Amino acid sequence: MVAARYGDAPVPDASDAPVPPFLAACAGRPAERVPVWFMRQAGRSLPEYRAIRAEHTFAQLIATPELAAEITLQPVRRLGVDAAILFSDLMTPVQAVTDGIEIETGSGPVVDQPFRRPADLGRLRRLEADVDLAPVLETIRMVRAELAADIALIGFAGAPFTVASYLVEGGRSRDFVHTKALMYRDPVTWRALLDQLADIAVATLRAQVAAGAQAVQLFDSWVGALDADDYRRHVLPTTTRVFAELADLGVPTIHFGVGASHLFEDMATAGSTVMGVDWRLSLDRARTLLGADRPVQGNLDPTVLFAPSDVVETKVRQVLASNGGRPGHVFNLGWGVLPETDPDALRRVVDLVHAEGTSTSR
Amino acid sequence: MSAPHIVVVGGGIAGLAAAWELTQQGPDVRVTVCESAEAAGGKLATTGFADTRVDLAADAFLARRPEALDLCRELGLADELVAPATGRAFVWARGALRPLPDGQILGVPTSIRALADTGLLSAWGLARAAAEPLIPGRPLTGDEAVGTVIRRRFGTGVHQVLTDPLIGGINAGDTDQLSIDAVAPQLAGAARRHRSLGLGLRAGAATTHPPTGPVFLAHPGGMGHLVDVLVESLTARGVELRTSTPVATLTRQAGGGGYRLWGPDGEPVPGDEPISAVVLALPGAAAADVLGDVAPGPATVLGAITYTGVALVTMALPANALDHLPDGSGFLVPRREGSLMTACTWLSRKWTHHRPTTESAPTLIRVSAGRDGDQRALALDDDQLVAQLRVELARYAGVDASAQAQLVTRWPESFPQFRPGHLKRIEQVHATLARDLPGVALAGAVLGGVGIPACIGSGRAAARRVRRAVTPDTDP
Repeated sequence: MVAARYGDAPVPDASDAPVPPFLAACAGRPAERVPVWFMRQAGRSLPEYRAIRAEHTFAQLIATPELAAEITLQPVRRLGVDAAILFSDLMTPVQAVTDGIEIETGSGPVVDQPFRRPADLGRLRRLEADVDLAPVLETIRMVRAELAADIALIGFAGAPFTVASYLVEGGRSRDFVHTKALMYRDPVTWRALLDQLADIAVATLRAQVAAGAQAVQLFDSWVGALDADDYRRHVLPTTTRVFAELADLGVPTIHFGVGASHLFEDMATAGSTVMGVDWRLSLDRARTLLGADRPVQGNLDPTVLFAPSDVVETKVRQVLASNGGRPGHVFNLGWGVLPETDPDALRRVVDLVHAEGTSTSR
Repeated sequence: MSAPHIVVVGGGIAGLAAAWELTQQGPDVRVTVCESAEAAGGKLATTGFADTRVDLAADAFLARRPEALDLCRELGLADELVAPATGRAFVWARGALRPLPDGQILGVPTSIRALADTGLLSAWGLARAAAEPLIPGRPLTGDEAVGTVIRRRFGTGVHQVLTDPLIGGINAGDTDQLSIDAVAPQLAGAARRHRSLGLGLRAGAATTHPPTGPVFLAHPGGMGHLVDVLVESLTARGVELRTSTPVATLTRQAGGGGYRLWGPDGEPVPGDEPISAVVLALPGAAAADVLGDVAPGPATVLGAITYTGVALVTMALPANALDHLPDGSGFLVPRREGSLMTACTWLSRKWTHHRPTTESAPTLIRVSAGRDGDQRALALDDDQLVAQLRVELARYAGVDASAQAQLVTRWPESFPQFRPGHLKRIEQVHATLARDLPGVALAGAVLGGVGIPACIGSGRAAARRVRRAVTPDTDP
């Protein structure tokens, strides 16, 4: 199947209200500025987040709408970004439908009993998003009520492969040995697990959009661990189904994996509106692979933010130059904000992108 | 003119309570109770087992409602009643038996701290429950499935490990299909008061006095003793109890005035003479059959009420079999575990009268199996059932249930399942009967409450209704 017809993506309130630059870029349209936001901009590095975090468990933060909304809004205030991304976790929806998953600070999700046998499929209940994720959906409503009209709210979910990797490995992994072992040894169970997780992702994202999210990003963070053949055989069909089942929502979708440049063209066929690009692949090259009109998001190396500010500026300008002023560019990092990142460095990136980024008509 | 003859059909606790109520206002009526089984009492029965007496169904009644306690007072039994020795109970969740949270009301937590202390819920489940007051919504308006209401407010975790095991356990039901009005009126009230069920419960608690006294009471002689004393008292007051006397049909007396009842072979019951009034204290399908010819509307409603069954296995275990377990009266097993067992009562811990009195005396437990949507237990033979329950006892409680003796009791089709809208439909049935069949009233669990107090209350209410129809001039 071919990529989504991004040019047709409807833009809300096209008639009167100004279109948020982020949504204009997702629609491939020229915008008054190059919009910018940062993956993992909510939580993590901001001191105002750490102050809240110190008093609550991670699950409490996500499940308490006032707190989660505040954390979602903090980077909009401090950094001046063009989009807020919901403060939640890739594993939150799965955590809601099975016991034994905890998200621990520093080490990420920990799964008591990894999912490795056919019988484990029964441990994932069907997600009733309105019930199971009710606090998250309320967070979205609260954030939307607070956000200025030109700032968009992005929802997100974990892609089936990446969520599966946590479930099968029991947590973070370097080599994904159990994940691949299951995939090769028992492709039927593997596919069934991915299908369950696809249903969860779809239900999650649909509910987020219904509550007010104006775009959604599907994070397939770890899928770069696969070669292209395995990706096409064991992952792509399910991911494609996720995007197909979001198509009627009329909101832009973003598809992203880190360290997955070798899968970029295949991932692009899954059907998202926008392709996220990590820093290893230049936007120019990405555009060539995608066709010039497909919107892209990216792709400053997050570790560049630790460099002297003149280096940061050079690198930001390189990203902008690599896109070459084409419409349909959402500026972002090539992966999430690292915890030790100086918020002021992020602010300077936003200001520079806003000052120098341009997009011209096709 | 001879005294009006009132017949109570069904000699379970509801029918017996109806007969008792009929005798309360003087001897100006003649009362007969027709019971299809060989003995009265219905599901309240006690039998000898392992040198003691154990109940075959309910082992206690709710004392926070007045009806059962009042009847015991009237029968002179109140001073003999005993409360459970412990109020603690557990739920199997997250791989362990965990206590019910302090302050819970039908499984709905009233304190998140208390809920957190139990370890019943995952971090997300707990955080989701804690968010209940923050979740938008509207106060409840119509009737709804209690499970739906709880999940919407507190999330799936609370529903799965608390409200479904508790409310589902009481009704052998599936809370996703049980009417909140019928099975959890206190929760329905709170849900109507406030958008937040938790805040609504707190508001309700603030306006009523905290209940005092034991929640449950029992007689050391078992529920069968209550039935025996009630039957004796009825007999002493001239009530005739006819056992092994099924009733199949009710007809109007030709020429107006009164009714006739007929047995399954078309014989007149209890005798060949007209009857002034009838209390039908029967399960839904039986009441529907009896009413089918004369009240098709009510019969349709009653006949459509589905029932589910349970199997109870009482086991005599070695005296020390439960010693490793924490203090408590037993545990519940959530539906999601997929086990046959729904609950296990540690009888010898719950009741002082079941405590082993000698070193060789057994410890008693009772395991419940089966609920709406899971009737596997009733399909198994006794040996298979006991074998499977032993495996589950080992899994959940670490109990080696190589029982010295066991008693399997089966109660197929015994728990009415109240679907949303049930109480409204029953109201309509009452209204139709009052209009079309004055002097015929319904009683029993089918009306909307499976508990003993509800059954007693329904019997007495039915008795008052038919008495008014028969002797309107004595109506105060």
